[in-house]
Amino acid sequence: MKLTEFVVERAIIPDLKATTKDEAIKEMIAGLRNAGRIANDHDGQIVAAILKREELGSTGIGRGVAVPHTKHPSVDSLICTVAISRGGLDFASLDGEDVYILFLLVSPPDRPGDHLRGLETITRHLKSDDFCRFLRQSSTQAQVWDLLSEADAGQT
Amino acid sequence: MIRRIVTVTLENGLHMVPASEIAKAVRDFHGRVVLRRDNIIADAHSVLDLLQLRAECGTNLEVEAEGDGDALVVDAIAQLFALNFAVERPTAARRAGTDGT
Repeated sequence: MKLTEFVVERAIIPDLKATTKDEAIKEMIAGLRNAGRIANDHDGQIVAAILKREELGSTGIGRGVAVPHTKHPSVDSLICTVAISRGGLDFASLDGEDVYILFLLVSPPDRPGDHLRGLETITRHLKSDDFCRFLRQSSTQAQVWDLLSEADAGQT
Repeated sequence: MIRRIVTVTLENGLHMVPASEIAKAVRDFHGRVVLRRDNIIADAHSVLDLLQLRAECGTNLEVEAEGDGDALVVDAIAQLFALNFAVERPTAARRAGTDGT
């Protein structure tokens, strides 16, 4: 699976305004809604489901990265957006460090395999120090998209 | 060195919640502990690594540990799989109103 197959380019947020976990998730879901990938009447439900998932354990998995996610029947394929926080967010991460890079996933409930493949793809790239550094240096949607494309092509 | 085979019986596979539980279970073990699927080897201390296994329901994984307390740490991991990860009980997910992936 490639990042550019499920990341929504127009929903990428290179400079997140949010300063808290809740605000960050709302801002990222708004990005997917504004890109036309989440219906207006479902965004509140999806935000609530992601926040409930966070209560089970933070998706801040260390290295300054978080992968908030949920399943929702209103999406018919795996979708994802990427956000960069310049100041860092307290995400109650496993390693106690602030989060600067977020990949938010929404997947259809009946496709657990796609969800696992999406997580595997994202985390495979996030293990690369170069990928994380270049992502944090990206300041526009186009720069983030180019980096994702390069990662898909095996260039980072 | 201790080795054991475990089977993923989680409906949604080895996703982030159970991966985090494994990492927590081995946190105080300072030896080498890995989970292996075919040629993919994941350090059990790392959620990022564990998600690389892409282990769907029904997948067999080999747990391997080496170091002081290796038998205990393999037992702890095997127990998580045997109990299908307590955090994944359907009642808990229903209470939380989420599928808990």
